[in-house]
Amino acid sequence: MKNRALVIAGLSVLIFFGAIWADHRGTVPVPLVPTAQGHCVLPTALMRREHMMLLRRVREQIVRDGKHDQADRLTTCIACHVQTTATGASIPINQHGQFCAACHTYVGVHIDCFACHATVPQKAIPIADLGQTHGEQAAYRIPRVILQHAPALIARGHS
Amino acid sequence: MATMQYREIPGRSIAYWTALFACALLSVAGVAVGLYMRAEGHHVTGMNNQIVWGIEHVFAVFLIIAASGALNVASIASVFGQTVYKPLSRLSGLLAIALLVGGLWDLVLDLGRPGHVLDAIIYGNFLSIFAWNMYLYAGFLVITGFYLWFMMERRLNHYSHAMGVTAFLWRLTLTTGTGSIFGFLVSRSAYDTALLAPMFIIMSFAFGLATFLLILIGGFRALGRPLGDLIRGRLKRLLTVFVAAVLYFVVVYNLTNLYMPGQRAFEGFLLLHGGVFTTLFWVGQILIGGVLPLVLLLGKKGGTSRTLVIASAAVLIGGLAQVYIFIIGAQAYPQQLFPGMIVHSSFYDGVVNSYTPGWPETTLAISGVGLVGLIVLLGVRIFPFLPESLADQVTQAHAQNATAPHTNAITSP
Amino acid sequence: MSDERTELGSDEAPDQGHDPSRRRLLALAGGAVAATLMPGVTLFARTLSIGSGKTPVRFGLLVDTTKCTQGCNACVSACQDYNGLSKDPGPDNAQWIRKVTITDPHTGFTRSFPVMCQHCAEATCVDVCPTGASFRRPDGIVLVDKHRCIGCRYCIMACPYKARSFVGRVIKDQKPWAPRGKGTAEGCTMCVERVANGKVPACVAACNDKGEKAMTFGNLHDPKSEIAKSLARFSTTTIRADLGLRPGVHYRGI
Repeated sequence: MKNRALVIAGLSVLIFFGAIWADHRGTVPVPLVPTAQGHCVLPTALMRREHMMLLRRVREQIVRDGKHDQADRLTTCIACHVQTTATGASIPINQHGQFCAACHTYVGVHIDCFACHATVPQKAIPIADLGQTHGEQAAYRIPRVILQHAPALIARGHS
Repeated sequence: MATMQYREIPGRSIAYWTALFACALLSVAGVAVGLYMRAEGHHVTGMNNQIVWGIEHVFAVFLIIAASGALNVASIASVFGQTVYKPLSRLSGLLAIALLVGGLWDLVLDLGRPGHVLDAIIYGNFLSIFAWNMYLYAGFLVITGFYLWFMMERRLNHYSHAMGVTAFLWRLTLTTGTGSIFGFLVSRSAYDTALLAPMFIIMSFAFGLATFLLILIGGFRALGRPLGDLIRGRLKRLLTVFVAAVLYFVVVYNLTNLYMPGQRAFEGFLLLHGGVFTTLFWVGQILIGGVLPLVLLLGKKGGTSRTLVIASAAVLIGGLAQVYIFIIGAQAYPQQLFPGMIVHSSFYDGVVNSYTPGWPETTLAISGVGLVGLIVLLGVRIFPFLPESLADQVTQAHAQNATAPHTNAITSP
Repeated sequence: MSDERTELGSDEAPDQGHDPSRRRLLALAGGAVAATLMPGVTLFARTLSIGSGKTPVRFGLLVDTTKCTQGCNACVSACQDYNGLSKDPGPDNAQWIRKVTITDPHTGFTRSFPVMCQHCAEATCVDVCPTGASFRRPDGIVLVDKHRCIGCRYCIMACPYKARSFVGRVIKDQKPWAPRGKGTAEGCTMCVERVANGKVPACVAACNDKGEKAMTFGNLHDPKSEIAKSLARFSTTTIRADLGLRPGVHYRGI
């Protein structure tokens, strides 16, 4: 019985101080997310909520279905949102305080996108292209339907 | 009386706590090493792009096939009506679960991205024998769990026979699946044969029983509980048959390869000039794992605890050597992209690859064994898995009285 | 407490109870066999469905080994540059494409040519992958969907061409068009991002530019394509054609 009382007392203390600690953590200021120029594929409020869904959808389309011609793919997100240093070099998007990291650190959601994906845009392709084409582009590419699901999202009360 | 008494072990001795602590420490070390490998990448291990499955896979496959074999003792009692084995059924079930969990532990912690393991359930590829095995493993744990429950709960004893039959068929399917992980592969000279499925089943019989014997004899000695000649004699005969059967399969497997001209180079590698693999084959697999146990078991002192322990340990060592050759040796031998040609490339084509187990994957491999120990040690302390006595008069009376396999009493508290 | 009610189970006397229990055993055995055969059955069903017609596009390669020279490494370098791979051929580094030299010990016949993922129609890596991360696209390119890859390396065990590698290190500075990272399997992608933009794979471009013009890329299922015409005209083979995987990469002169 003595033990049980001790355990209950210990747990109460833990919960009490845990709550205080958590509350203290809660006062972390909302991060300053770097803003990009131009227009996003969806309104900001929608993107905040649904960007993962969009990225998941687009990654299936590109990787698995071979429909590479997508505006809302990760590389275009990065190209638009990446910050540059004074010398004009791109700052990795997952670096502290940058577009992806700023929010994800704040909300405590771990992402492993950048274990594989490049964190800065890159244009140069170091292969001599010689204008060679394989002539299959027309048959291969499908007409892009822009964000078929956007109306459905807006209808869910995000607007 | 004719009923068998089961009792939890007291578990207060220093030896018990030491063993428990050691096993727990090993298990935790496995998690630590798994996280380390995940953070650093597998370049910290001895594995590379030539040897992609290492010592932890050897242990994992060994534990998984031993798991299904360990359940055999219970199956013999339930399915084949050999009531003399009935008192061993509970330990058999517990050991089967522990061994399987230990094997899966090694497999999952070794993954490149262990956090994504549920993708196999979310997406799943039903063409993959690997994916099928995941269902077979999960089913095995559930079925064996129910089987144990039905055996230990008197009101449910009636169903334990049906559950035992289900478990037996399931474990045959499971080991077929494990063998087919390799048997279905056309890519390597050592695999690509339907023989692997039955061979894995018979290997599981031997490895599982040897593990079971070690734990039974060791446990009963540590507890000071009596273990009679009757049980020992029966288990000895079983082990003899299983070891001989494994040898038979090994002979058929190698003879078949020797007879096929295209496979002779591989056999030459395995039997003559494969360096460590040849040594492991002749000394480890054949001599220690096959000949030595047979000589010991068929000798005059075959049924004594001492001989059984030595023979079982030899079977396990030989078994590990066999699985090591089977997994590492198969990868070390060059893949045959151009049969009959001399092949060179920057990517080690045509080269016999070498592998030295690194400390991370070795720790991980052993941690699976530690987890098995942990589960067994905790299991026998919390639940009445072990009979109080397996002295001859007890087992004999029990076997004679038990007309049906589900008449055992539960433990007295 | 010991329980003596042995009669509870006596309705199953050994000599009479055998028949129903054996029947039950047989039924269960049937179920178990069906469960084991399931992958085979799905495989068979897929085989049937494939036979019905050709897809409009199947990308493939033709390597003319009579043109390829032993000293040339242009295709390999181009692949490494374009996809951001390491140039150091250590045992744990990936090599999506490699130059292989074969010599017949009896005749002295020798050839040097590149080997990469063969983009098989019946790819073993696709069949064995537990998550479906290894998959074949409608255009015939075999890829690893790294989003699903758990890093089990079964595809590497299953590939007869040594075409798959495992990333065992933290990777930085990837190319945006070639994502790759620690803990996943990878292999030749046939430069999907280039192909999607109407260009030929990097190795083919480099071979045409700096090499011996030994590689042709194109749609195997379009009879008017250059590659299909060459395949119809010359005697070609695939590596380990005996395995029946129907690779998309063909070789001439071996």
